[in-house]
Amino acid sequence: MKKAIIILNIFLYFNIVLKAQTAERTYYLTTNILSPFSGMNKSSATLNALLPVFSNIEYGFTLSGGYFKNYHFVESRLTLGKSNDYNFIPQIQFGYNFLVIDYFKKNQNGFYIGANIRYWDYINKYTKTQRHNISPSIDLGYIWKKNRFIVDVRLNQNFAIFTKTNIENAKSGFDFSFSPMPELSPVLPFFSINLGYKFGQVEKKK
Amino acid sequence: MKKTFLLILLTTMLFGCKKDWLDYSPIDMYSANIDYKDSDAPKHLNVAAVSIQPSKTDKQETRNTIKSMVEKIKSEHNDIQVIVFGELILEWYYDSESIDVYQKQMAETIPGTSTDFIKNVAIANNVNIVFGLTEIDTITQNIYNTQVLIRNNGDIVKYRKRNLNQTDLDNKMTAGNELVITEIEGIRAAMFICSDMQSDKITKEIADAKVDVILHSLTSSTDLNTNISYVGTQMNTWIVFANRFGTEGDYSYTGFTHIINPAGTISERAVGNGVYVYRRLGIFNK
Repeated sequence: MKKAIIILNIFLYFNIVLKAQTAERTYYLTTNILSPFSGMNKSSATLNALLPVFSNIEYGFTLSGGYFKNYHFVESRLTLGKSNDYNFIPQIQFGYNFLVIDYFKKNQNGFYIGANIRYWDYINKYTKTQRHNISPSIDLGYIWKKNRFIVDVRLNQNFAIFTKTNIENAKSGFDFSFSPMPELSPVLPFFSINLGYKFGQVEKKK
Repeated sequence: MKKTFLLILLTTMLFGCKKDWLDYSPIDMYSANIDYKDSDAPKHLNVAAVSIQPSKTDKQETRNTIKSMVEKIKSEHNDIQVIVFGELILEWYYDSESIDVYQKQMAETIPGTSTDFIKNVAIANNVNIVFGLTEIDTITQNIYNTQVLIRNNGDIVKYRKRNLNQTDLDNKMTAGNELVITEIEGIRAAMFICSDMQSDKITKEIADAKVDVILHSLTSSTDLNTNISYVGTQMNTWIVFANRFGTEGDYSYTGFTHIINPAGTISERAVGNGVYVYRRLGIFNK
């Protein structure tokens, strides 16, 4: 758990440092358009299993906020929802992304790569248990900016997971893991489509 | 008009299809492996979950298979206390060629031929045996997807599946109407059949009953994660998860069989025909 707090603090610190260094910044807010549909009872086992793969395993309402500086952007995401009636799953994520093609070619290309860390608390309301999970990932995506509107399409590949629970006599665990359903697919990136709006000064490229 | 249609569609999606049926999502089985330290628990129960291939029509052949597996487990683990077999394990789960009559043809009363046979096996091996079969009520002629526990003294405890899935309905099964919690050597055990786990109401009842172990007879081909169990993260208690093997018409079963710890991690796992998993479960006071 200490390790998890340290990693989260590093991301928060990174946010603060970037803010301090830039005079021109553009803030944005986006939401994952598919997450409200994940976890709804759809009377289809296939839909229940596969739709969350296309909502970045975010369930319920997602709000992400961040800002751009030149070829970089950092982001925080908050999700509140459930996958079933017996649980509640708040999630917090922090990420950094780099507009790699734009950096080398200066052509306004929106392709980016980045890293993300996700924390979620799987709360079983009936058994009153909690599972605290932390999972790092790499991101690939493309972001379109039209005036102040943003469309962000992203693939997020987790590669490890740490879990700690309040279940008595249970230990914490850590695994390298590329998929929650390895028998279906040993590597399973999560897809998301995010729509949003930019605030503040529009960037001027150097 | 378009707006009204969209509003109705959205409202229907959000609220219209609400019924007591749970399905699982990737996050329900997304966790690191978590070990469960139970060696110093105040109570223990030695259990096995078994996967076998039932004959389609020859119940005596299947009963003999059950007897052989019980004797094999007993010879390898003399301290065994409970052995769990799958759902409707005396016959096929579903026969598409004779949907209307197959389960009724295979049905029997409880007590009946099969329970009498297994009772002798239980007494001879001094072990509690749990298995599923199609039960018929001779008065109403209703058939039930039933799980029986035959104690090592010959007593029978019976549970009728409550949360029927589409295959059960196609099989013309009638739903049971009560939770069955029983004690085995001082341990609180819930009787449980397959898609009972997909009922929110039953999930809540079992959580409230604070059972020590769920005796889960099922039929499943959904093997998505060999380390973390979605029913394990749902129930947070020991689960003895016994499946079936074989090809039955259009359906194939690999026989994956588990013992799942209260943290949702699969402690023991076997796949195939005539296989079993064994574990000494540590039970703490709840």
